[in-house]
Amino acid sequence: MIRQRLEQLSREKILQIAEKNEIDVTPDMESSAVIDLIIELIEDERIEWQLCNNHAVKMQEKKYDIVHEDEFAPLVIPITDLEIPERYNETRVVLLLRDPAWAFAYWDIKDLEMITEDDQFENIFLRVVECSSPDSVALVDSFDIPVGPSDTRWYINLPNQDTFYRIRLMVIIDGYDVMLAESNSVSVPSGGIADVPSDSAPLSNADKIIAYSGIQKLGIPNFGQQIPQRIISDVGEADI
Amino acid sequence: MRHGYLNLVLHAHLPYVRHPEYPSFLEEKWLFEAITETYLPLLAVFDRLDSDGIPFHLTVSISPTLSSMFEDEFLQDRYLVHLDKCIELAEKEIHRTRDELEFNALARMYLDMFVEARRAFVDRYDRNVLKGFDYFFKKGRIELITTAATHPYLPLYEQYPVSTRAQIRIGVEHQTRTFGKPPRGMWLPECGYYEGIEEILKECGIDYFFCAAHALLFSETKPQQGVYAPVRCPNGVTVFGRDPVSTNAVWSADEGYPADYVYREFYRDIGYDLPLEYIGPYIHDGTVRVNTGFKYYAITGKTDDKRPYDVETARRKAEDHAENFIYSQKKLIDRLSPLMQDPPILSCPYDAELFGHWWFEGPVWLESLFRKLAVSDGSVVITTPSAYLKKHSPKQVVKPAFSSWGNKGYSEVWLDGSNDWVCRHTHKAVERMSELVARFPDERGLKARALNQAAREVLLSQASDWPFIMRTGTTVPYAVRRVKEHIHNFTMVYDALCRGNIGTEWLTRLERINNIFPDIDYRVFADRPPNSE
Repeated sequence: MIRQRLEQLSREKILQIAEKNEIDVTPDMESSAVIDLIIELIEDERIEWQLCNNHAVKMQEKKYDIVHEDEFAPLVIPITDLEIPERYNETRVVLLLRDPAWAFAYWDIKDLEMITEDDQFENIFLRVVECSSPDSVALVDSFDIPVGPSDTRWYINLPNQDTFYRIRLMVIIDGYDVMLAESNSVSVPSGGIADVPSDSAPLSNADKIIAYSGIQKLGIPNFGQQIPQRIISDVGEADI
Repeated sequence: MRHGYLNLVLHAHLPYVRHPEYPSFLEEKWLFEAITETYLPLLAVFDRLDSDGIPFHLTVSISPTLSSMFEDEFLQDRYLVHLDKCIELAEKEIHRTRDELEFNALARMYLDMFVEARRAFVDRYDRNVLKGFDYFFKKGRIELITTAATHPYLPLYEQYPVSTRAQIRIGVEHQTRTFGKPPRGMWLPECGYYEGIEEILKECGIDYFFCAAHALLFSETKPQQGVYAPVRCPNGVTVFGRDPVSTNAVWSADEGYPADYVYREFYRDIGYDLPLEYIGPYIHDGTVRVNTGFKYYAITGKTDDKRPYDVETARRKAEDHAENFIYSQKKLIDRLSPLMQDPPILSCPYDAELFGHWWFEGPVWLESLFRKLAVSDGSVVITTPSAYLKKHSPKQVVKPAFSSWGNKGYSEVWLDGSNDWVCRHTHKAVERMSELVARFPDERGLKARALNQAAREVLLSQASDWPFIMRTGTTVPYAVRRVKEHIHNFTMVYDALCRGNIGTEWLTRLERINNIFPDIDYRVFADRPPNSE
């Protein structure tokens, strides 16, 4: 079905899809060969993604599984017959926490072209701001991520856990940093177990119970400094 | 004697899929297959246990979208058309396999299954499966809880409490209207928890909810009883943590019970195996191969050379697996009990559709579990959250941590390169919906109808199913279309209200198609909705 849908697209559109997905295409390559490469990419991606799926996701996936034919093309094939605006022409930036190490920002800039066509316009960037509380004005730290005028979203690697972040949407005009908008704050959890006992301390009942809670098989990355290995090994992995 | 509790939870959910504008619609089969393979077989299990006097208790969450589809006459009609086609195909299959004994027996089993489904659906439940659940709810056998109205992944709406409040409030009101009693418990869609959501749950009258194990284990306060005792949020709402050990034994596709080689193979279906000229009338539009529900092979192993499915062998295996499950629970209880003040409670939530749809033998396993527990030594006591809380109150106050039951425990399934475009639009729709409520706080007539429809479209656009499908790759175009369609519809209503020019014909058509929550009051999107405490 993917092939059929790709075959209905113009050559120009197929080449655009290939380029967007960083597929090497030579000018003399026939459209059918480009389609083969796109489908190959989709298949690779599908395998990679499926390997990442945990039990809950694998189970849930089966609820919707009525057609075995490949319809797996979320990244590469646009569905264009019912369009909604790409953006809303307003200046804003929104931050969403994906996990304790990654956040996602999307933004929009009102009258973007007027800004970027200004002779004094130099650049757009995101300033990632770490703060000690959601409403704090004082910064703990910050770093900048340059983005292009056509970018509207970005995944941000967060250096620290157990803290707060927000994003400032910035432009450089005539050498000056100008803030266009500031996002909401997100609270980043520690992503690990609290109060891990020291090596010399005897394990408490709570530690033993946590080990029995299947912590080693959760499939959750431990983002914090605390490694629960000692808890697991002391209780006896074979018993869990 | 030491004992512990087993807290089984089945979460039944499908997104709202209803397309009267088409003569038939592929994705409506999600519901039809689940009715035949999961919901009716589960009710049949409850019936048999009940009539044999076997005590059983479990918690069932029925999402408002699913229960709305159960009640919908149009979908009830279509389900019967679907069933009749299945019965017709079963009869043809009995004839086609007449010289192949093993397959012929299976074709007859399918005929019996579909005929029985039709009888139960029409005669016993008067075409509304909810009546079955209501019966056991009223009888005290199952505890019914609810979930958010259209099953959104709520952490993506953390900065829009108005949206979370609307979703939770409608979920609670829907359940109250459907079953005559407000729910005590809430299933957070995808176990998606963010800090502070308990405030909204409490506001909506919810006493407890479930969360992923690491919501408790990774809390800033160490949970003294791990996931084996509920805790209280600082505002008093109770949280039950999922026991990953018990849950994974049942639903791991690789090493869990359903992966056993004698069980029915989900992916071998005659919709794919038989020639188009034969199977054409029973697949989509006569050309698109789909699952028909007729599956003749056992999992067998990692091979394409599958053995024919043997019902009796699979049934015995399901009984063995029920025995094994009880043994594992007892072992865990034995280890935990000396470490704990109260008897441990093992909370095991599953997608209901695991039982029967994917794991064909799941209902047999469940029935066998209850039967074996009824005659066991009493060390594993079946319970529900309310029954447990009557005897034991949560001892520790713990602030759960942001979490979900998706991959790696957080939001990556619902916030990914394939689906992250969705939030921009659903967030905007929420903002605009709140703006509409502020501008039109007390409308009646046509304007109120338009506002109510706008609220429906916002809610429908937020279902977690759409980003999930975009991420996992089944029927992606449909999921993309649904989000775009609801955002498009919402924007049309929004623009019309801003212009003061509402087209009655167009609105009526929309109301007819996306007709969920007929009693919705658009002011549920107010900062403080009417009648809020």
